[in-house]
Amino acid sequence: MASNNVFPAFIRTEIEGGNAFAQFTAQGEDAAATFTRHFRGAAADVSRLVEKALAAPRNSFGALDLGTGKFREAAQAAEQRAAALRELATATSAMAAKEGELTSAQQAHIAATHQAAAAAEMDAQKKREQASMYDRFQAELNETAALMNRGAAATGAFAHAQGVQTQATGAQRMAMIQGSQQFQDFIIQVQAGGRPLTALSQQGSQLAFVLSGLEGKTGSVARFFAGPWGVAVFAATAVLGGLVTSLFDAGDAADDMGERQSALASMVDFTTGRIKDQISAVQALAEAQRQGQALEEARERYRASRSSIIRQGLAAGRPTVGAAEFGLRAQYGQDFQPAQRTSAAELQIRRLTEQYQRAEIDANRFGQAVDRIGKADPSVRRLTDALVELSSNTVTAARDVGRTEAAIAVLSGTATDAQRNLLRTLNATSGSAQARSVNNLIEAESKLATATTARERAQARLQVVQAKQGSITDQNSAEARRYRDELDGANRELQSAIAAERGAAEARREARAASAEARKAAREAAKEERELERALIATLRAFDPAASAARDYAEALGRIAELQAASAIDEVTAATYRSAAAMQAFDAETKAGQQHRAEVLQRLTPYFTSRMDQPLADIRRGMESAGAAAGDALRDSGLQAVDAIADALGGKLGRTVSAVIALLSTAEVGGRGAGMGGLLGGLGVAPGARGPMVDLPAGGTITLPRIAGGFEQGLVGVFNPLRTAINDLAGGIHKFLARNDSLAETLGSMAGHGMLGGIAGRMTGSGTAGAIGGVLGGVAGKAIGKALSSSLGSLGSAMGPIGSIAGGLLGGALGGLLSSTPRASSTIGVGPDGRLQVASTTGSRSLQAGTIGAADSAIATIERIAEALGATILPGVGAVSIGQRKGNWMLDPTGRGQTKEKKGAINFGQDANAAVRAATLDLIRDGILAGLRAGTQRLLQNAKDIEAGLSKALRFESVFTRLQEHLDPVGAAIDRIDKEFSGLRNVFQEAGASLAEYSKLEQLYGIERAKAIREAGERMTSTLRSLLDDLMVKNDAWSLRDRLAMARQAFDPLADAVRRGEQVDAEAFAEAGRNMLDIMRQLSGSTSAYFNFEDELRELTSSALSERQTLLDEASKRAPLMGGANDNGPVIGAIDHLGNYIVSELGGHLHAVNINLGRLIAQGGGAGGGRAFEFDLGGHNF
Amino acid sequence: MSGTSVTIGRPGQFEQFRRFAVRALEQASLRATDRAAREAVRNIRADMRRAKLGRLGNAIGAGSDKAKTGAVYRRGKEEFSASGWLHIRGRSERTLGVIEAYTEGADIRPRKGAWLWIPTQQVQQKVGRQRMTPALYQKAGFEERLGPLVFIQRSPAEAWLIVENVSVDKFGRHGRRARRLPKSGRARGARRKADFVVAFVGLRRTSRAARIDPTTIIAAAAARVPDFLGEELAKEI
Repeated sequence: MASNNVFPAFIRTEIEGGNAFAQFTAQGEDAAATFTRHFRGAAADVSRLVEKALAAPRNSFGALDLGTGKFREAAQAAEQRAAALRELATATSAMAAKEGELTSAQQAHIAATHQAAAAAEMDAQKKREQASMYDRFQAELNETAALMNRGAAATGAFAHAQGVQTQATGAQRMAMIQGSQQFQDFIIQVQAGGRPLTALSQQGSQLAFVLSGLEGKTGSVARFFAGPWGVAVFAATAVLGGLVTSLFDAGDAADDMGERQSALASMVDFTTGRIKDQISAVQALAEAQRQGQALEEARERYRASRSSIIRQGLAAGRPTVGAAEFGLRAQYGQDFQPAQRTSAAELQIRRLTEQYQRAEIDANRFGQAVDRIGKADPSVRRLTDALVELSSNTVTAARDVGRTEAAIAVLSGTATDAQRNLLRTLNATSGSAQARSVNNLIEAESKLATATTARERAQARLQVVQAKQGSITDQNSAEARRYRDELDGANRELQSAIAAERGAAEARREARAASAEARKAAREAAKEERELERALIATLRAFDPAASAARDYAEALGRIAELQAASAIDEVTAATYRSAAAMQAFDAETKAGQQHRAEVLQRLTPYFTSRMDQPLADIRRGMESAGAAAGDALRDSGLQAVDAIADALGGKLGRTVSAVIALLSTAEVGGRGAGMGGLLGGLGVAPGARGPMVDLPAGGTITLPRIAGGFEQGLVGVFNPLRTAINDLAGGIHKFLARNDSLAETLGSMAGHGMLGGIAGRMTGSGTAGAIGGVLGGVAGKAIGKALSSSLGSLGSAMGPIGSIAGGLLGGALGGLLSSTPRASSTIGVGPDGRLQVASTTGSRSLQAGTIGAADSAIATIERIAEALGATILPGVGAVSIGQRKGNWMLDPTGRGQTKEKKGAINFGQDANAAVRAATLDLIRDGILAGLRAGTQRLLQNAKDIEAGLSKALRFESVFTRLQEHLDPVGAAIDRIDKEFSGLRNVFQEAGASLAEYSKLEQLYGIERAKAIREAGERMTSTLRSLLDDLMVKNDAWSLRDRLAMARQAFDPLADAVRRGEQVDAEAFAEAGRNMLDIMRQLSGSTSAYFNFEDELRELTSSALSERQTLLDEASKRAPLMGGANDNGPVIGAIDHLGNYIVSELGGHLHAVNINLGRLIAQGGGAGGGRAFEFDLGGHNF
Repeated sequence: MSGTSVTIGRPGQFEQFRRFAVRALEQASLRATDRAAREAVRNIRADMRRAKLGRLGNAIGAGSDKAKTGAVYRRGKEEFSASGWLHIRGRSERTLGVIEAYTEGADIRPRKGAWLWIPTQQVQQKVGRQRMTPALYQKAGFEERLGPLVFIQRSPAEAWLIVENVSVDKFGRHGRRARRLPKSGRARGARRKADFVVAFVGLRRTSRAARIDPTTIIAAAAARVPDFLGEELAKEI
């Protein structure tokens, strides 16, 4: 069974390194624990030192005793010493002046004495100032203590007031309770049927007594009613209560009467309705009776008519009685029957009459038949007229009877469907105008009820209105006017409905047209997009390094196989070559894979940075919110603690504490914290920027082993600096506190130097805010959240009362810093090498990776567009910045790196691709692409969407390209090569290619250019050449010998060159050889001349092939096969083609050869001796 | 001051994110490998059509985890793999051989004997469903119906098997095979007598060059997987 080395083939993605998230959590917990441990240690130090400061001695004012008396004593001592030294110096000078002449030693002594006096005076001055300052400071402390004492006194007064208020509250409570009971008694009394005013008079006095204990206006009023006036008022109320009750009773009676009247009216209405119903029933009964009577009358008329018609019919059939007959009848009586003399018409009438009598025909038919007879025979016309009239009356009477019966049945509710239909039909056809009007109204109402469209409803409503016209008798009445109004309204409504329907139809047509146009536009857009995508994919595939490497490898294998098939190399050499080719292919594919990985990484990064981290962003916002809340709480607590410290230590000194801690935050923490915040702040937006995410080994298997691994490495890379930074922070605090073993001394020193500041300003302006906020805001993880939650939650218990200071400061920092805005921006501009690249990047380092990736995408897009359009990039023309702010992608068209909308940046939300597209378009609008047609430039610059603009530009450019291919194929080919190699030159420049590599590129350019020119030229001239060949060598009009001579003219120089071992155009040689072979076959057939030439051609071909093989071998020794410098593929292909041609020709002539051999055998001779034979061509052109 | 208890973050957010990320990657991987496999088989079929191999490309099929099970193969909590594949749909040796010949090239040699015999148009091309061979010629009775085969070595690399004394079409029209000569020795109608016809042409070997390169196509499709993955991730997120 055949085997296949290709199939099955697998394309696989593998995700490995699955503990990334677990490691992330563990590292977060570790970092949080470290942070907590160090923070607790530092806080304990702070607590200890501040407690030591608070344990300082107090003076009589209760303030901190600074010992100012000692300072003053020291100042006095210094002053005394300075005065003594000054006196000594003065005395020494005076003594020297008296002596007149001084030695150098005396002069030095005098100078030293003056200097010592001056120094002592300065020292005394300093000590005085110091003592003065300490006095003032002590005064401040004393004043503060006094204020605190006064505050305590005020607090005592407040406590007393609170006691009074408490008593008042108790009284109020009791009053409310008793008052409620009084109200309850009042309600119970009223509910029990007592009079309200009476109850009020009884309960009101008690209520007033209860409320009299209250303060304020309520108490005053209550006390009034509890007094003599209250007795009078309530007594009067008790008297008036009866009167008011009577008044209420009268009102109730009136209400009852009204209700009963209403009930009576309802009963009257009810009774009236029943009476109306009864009257209607009576009227219906009367109508039924009347109808019944009419029915009886109609039946009677019918019977009478029928009897009459029978009688008259009989009479009509009887002959005229003459006088004689009369006499005879008179003689014999009525039974006398004379001989009958009847006509045929009379007989017919008689027969019809008999049939009618036997009820074989009805009156209507009878009348019609009789009428026909009468018209045919005038002699019986009088009789027939009478019979027709009678029959007509009979029919009318019968109809009346049927209608009456149907009407009765309808009224009695026993009507059948047939009777109802009959009645409806009769009413409609022969009824009165009023009945028709009613029917029309019913029909119209029915239509109105069942109408489904506005137009149908309007029409039905118009019919309803029109149907009402019949009931109007007076055209000038109000009813008629209302009818006309209704008619006009219905007409207007109908017209409006018709117009609306037309409008809707028109709108539908327009909508359909618009929809069709939209669909068409969408189809065209989709088509353009597909074409563009196909073009881009084809371009990418053509330039795909991996595919190129695979092609090179396949070609190398093919060449090796050819050489081996031609026995030019043995199996061992072939294996060596294959191995070398495989190694080279592996290297190339590995390199291509690495490059592709880098591209993929770059393309995938925005997905992670802009979209996949949305949950992280949510967590981050939650952390910020929670952190801000925690910070606020801690800050408030801290402020309270600081206030307490300030109260305890004195105003200025207390503020000094704030200044110290603010300084601590600024000096020691701020710098580190800022960097640390940036590190963790960007965690959620650039995880994939570290480590390989995609691994693409060569071959048919694709693995993506470490996307999560890369994420993990990224997190590790983020957390390690975080842990270090936190350690540094804690260590910094610790060292700072360790250096200052006594916080009291520190405070004193700072107070001495006047370093006082406002705590609030320091807190809000602290650099620590950005640091810690960044830290906490950036940490995205449940574990971190838990750890911080527990550590912050236990902060107070860990640090004691002094912890509130640090807690407050930290809280303030948290509150201020969790709102810090993470942002970064990358600006596309001119790089050091003059190429377009990311010129600068600012902002958060963690966000920079994302912005750089986006900027690189925009640059890559620009480069692809330039390559596709053959444009030149002018790097210095435009600049644009892509940034991120608060998780949103921002674009600054000015290239200044702004990320605020109010400063001109454009917000693209979470859509990084939109920002990249906009950046690309902005650069194009800046005119960064040069060398384009003005129209192409306009299409690109005016495009609202980069893809659409590029599609239009490509189509626009394709017109000129295609036209040039028609008009100037060679120029078009050269342009194509130039465009391709222009792009390659950029690639070489980007790769930093060496001079030798540039020379290779130049060499390839020369070869490709020559090839393009040759191919284009051949396309231009091939037809003419073919025509010329058809006219000369291949022209049957020429004799075979002439054609052979022409072919030989072309063949011989090439053959001579081959014999001389020179390089010839293999295709030309093959073509000339084919022509020669063909003509020789026709001219010489299967004679030795043909076979001799065939042998010669084979020998020459083998020689040429051998020459090529020699070159190939030499080239193989010089350089690896993958170099591709000696491409003998066309030669080998041409030779193979020639060989195939020979074989096919052999096969094609097989049949004729059969015949010719038969002829030879039949002629009994050989084919030698130069004897010519006539061969049966057998349909072949030999 | 008493202690302050602060709770930061919402429980489960990170776990939700982890699950979301893994799931998104799984689904995107499934679709990406499926797309890659389908694109590869589409391109292979197109190349086969361009190489004048007709519908031979239909013998190549594609499958994927997405189409087969709709799920990835998980290993552990977050590791997984997703695959697409290409395979030969038929199991017949002929199909496998043809695909191998045109995808990898083939050197065709006789399995037994020294000659690879190719029937000419003068003899019947097939017997039943089997291609005509000299052995089948004898077995099917053509020696009695047409005549015995006579071996003639044309060159070291070529030989003929001829049949003597047959009738052939007078005008050499295509598709008119040789027939037995009537006993009278004279052909009738539109046929004429031929002293012999070549029934088989013998070759030492022949070869078929590879016309398509599925390895390159599959590699190109595989190289597109990251692109597909990115696109699918964009849909997923």
